[in-house]
Amino acid sequence: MQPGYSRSRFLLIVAALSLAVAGAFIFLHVTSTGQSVSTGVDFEPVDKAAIERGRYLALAGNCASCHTTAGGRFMAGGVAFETPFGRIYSTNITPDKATGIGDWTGQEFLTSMRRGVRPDGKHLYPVFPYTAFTKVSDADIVALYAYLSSIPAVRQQATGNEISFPFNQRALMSFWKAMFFDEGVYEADISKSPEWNRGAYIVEALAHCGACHSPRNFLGAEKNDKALAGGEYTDNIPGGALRTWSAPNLTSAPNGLGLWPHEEVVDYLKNGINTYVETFGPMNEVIMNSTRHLSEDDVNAMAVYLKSLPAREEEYPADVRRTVLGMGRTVYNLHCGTCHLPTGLGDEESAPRLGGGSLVVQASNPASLINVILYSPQRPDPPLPTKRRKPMEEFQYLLTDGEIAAVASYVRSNWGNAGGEVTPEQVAAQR
Amino acid sequence: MHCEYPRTGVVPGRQLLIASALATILIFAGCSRQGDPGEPENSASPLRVRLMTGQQYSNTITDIFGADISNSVAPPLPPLARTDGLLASGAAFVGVTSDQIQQIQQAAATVAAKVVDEYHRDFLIPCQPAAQTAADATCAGAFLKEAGRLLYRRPLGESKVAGLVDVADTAADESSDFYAGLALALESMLISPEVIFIVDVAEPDPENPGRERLDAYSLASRLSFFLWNSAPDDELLQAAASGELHTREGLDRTVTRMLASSRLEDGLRAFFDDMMAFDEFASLAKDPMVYPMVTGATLADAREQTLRTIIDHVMTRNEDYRDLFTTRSSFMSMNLAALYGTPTTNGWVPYTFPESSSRSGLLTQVSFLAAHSHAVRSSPTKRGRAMRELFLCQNVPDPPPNVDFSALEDAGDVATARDRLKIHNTNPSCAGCHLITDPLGLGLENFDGAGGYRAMENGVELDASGELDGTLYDDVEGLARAMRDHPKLPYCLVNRMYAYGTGGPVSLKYDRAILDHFTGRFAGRGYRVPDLLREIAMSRAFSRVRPDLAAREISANASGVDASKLVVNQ
Repeated sequence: MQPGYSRSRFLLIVAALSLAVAGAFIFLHVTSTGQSVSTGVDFEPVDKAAIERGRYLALAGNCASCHTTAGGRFMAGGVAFETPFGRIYSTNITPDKATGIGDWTGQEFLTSMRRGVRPDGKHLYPVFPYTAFTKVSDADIVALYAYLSSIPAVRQQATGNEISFPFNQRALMSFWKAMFFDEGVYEADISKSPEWNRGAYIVEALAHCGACHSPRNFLGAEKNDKALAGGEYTDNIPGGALRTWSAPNLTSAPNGLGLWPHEEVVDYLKNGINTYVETFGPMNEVIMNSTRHLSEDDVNAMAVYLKSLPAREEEYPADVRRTVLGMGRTVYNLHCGTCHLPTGLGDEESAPRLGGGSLVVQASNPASLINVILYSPQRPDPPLPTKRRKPMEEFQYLLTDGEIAAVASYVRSNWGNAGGEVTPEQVAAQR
Repeated sequence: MHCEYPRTGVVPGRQLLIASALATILIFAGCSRQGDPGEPENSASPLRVRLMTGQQYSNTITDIFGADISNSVAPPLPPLARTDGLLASGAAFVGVTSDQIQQIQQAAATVAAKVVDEYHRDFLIPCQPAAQTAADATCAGAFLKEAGRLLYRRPLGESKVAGLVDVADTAADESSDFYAGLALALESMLISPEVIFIVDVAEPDPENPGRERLDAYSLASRLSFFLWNSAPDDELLQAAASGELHTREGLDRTVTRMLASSRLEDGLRAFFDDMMAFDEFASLAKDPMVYPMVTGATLADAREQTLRTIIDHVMTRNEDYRDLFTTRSSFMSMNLAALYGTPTTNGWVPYTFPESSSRSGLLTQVSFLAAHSHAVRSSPTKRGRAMRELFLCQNVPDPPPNVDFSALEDAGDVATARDRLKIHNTNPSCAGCHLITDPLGLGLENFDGAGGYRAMENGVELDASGELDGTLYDDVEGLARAMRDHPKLPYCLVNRMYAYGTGGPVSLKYDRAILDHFTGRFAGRGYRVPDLLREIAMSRAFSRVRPDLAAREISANASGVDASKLVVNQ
């Protein structure tokens, strides 16, 4: 999934970075840029087992989703990431020597993963989530390198990034890294089970779940004290336009994964559907390209780890006004309740449940819920098997901002939900 | 300002020429269709091909050849699928099978034979042939040219007329009968796809380079079928020919004339008959054992009563549309009097329900109450659904295919519908939809399945209290007021009327802004229907063509039928 940043913080970021520029240049004089990590890791010999293992790790890391455009050549890059700093394109990671990573040594590949530094010594932007990949083990990086070296080479020049000054100065990333980047392989917690540690390794390192599910600070770095407590990013809505999305809280918070039993987490990651929700929108590519291909043991381990996370909450919702609830109830009964049912519990043939466990409904930031109401949930392609009689319709033309805000507030305040009020302005921002 | 085509001619002197040119520009500028400045800038409607409805066919034949000829044939056009609340909108998505073409041909032959028979020929055919036993191209041409202009709703080209005359002459020579030949040529016109389908034709819009508008004759047809439910008359076609319809003032003059015409009542009756789904009366029947007072004539009069009420209210009195749902003014006939429990005289007479009566507005008239009930009992569900779908444009889903009615049928010893329908609340899958229908319908439980008043059911006093989208009520008058004041009520009328006028369902994706605009204007003018008709007819949206891509998208969304395939082989 694509990492992103709050647009609302853009001006603040510009101001902060401008002030930081001077300090950064001073800092740069005393900090070296990219040097390969001296680990003495052995990248030879390459055998089929290593390649196969690397293929599996690439699935766990969901490399293809970010490095393959829709209809494009596998791993040849070109996927655009919209950030407040500009548009950044993923690179070609096929073994083509001219345009890909065919000229990279294993050690250079390891350095990019571990330290976020290219072979030419320049810093990579953290859109490439090396803040997570730094935790990947040497052995797994070796396997990944073996696999990526084995896939067909594609001659495709990387699209130039469109980043404005001063953000287009890669050297500044040195300053950013000093503040927000902790380099180092994942270290197992010996007080926890091997299963828990395996789950933590996948979630925190390979699958880089925090890239979307963790809130970020004003400089775009993940907030460690709120890790996996829900984030926001920019991605496509049906039709291709870009909008803000909110990723749910994965901790044990009341509006997070604490609502889901272990087996429901497993079902969702493995099948894209569980009692509470069906995958839609940006999560589709995570399920379809990554987690559903993982072994039962690994998915189980991820669930064990996620279910162990202590509750972390981004924001506490405000109470919903009674007038808003009244209007919301009317809109719900007319347009939602016939499928989601008055109980909010849904039905396997009509619609998913909205009460008692829908993370999307209760997310602190209602952006994804609003997107679903406005544009209908974008389902995976090809679609997952379903018993639903018909897909949800879009309401962007039928309902006003006020009506959508009211019904979203109603849904977020009923059946045990406590997501708080949604405003018409929040709906308008998603149109 | 009087607008007409600028006259051309030789004017001596350069200054006069310049003055003339400037005057011409000013005339065009003054007559330019600027439209309502408040209308959304890009409003437009799709180019459509739609089948005439049966009533439109009959009205057209009546207007051109007379009611007796029209009445001699049943409209041969196929039934339409109700689409987005209107049969008229279904006309944009229907083809004609070969069997239906046969019926159209048989009706055409009957009409043509009547037109030329000895009882009609003298006043329907503007000339007499030199000899009745031979072809007469001049006389045939005179008739076919004028009849063709009215039937095709635009002038026929010379080659088209020549072809028709050739058909008439050949048949006349073969049969030695001028009128038989003329009838064959007329029959060929009456089965033409351009006659039985209303085909919108676009032309470049000089006021909006790169955009298109309806050509004048298509606009004339759209106006005529919208306001009169029939083909354009001679004067309207002349207005199209002169270019008047594409000027603001000319269009205003035409719309004013059409709104003042007695034919407006035909148009409004057709619209409200369609909007209220009164076509269902064709198959409506009540069990005579349960409702012995209700006959076919009673139900036919119930339909007529409501239409008379509507026309009187919105057209004759020009009153607030919303008050239709609370008005006590209506009409009474002998067939209905017994059901309403009131004395009356023969024929239709104005009637006002007393304040002590529970009859308050359209929802309490027999037509609505009986049409949305079972044959043997009332149905709060059907009535509630109809209220939402007909008057508020809200969709109530059909029951799921595997719905289990056993619990409802085995509800046990319950006295009232309210008790029986509580079963719905025990099953969430049922409750979702019944929550939006039953509470409304229960507000009308003081009326039985035939529309007769009752205070009790099975010895139990009826409770008509409930809630309509946040408005609480204690009785049927309260329900009527809640419906009258529902914000979606006028919006829904605007939606249906715009769809009816432009010949197909609205697309909220494209039409939301124009519907909001019309609704605002409707409110601003006190919810007067004639003003709404004028607003729609005069709008840019009514005559400006939406680009093809959007039209195709709407067509595909609304129906799987490809409207371009006018004739379908079985």
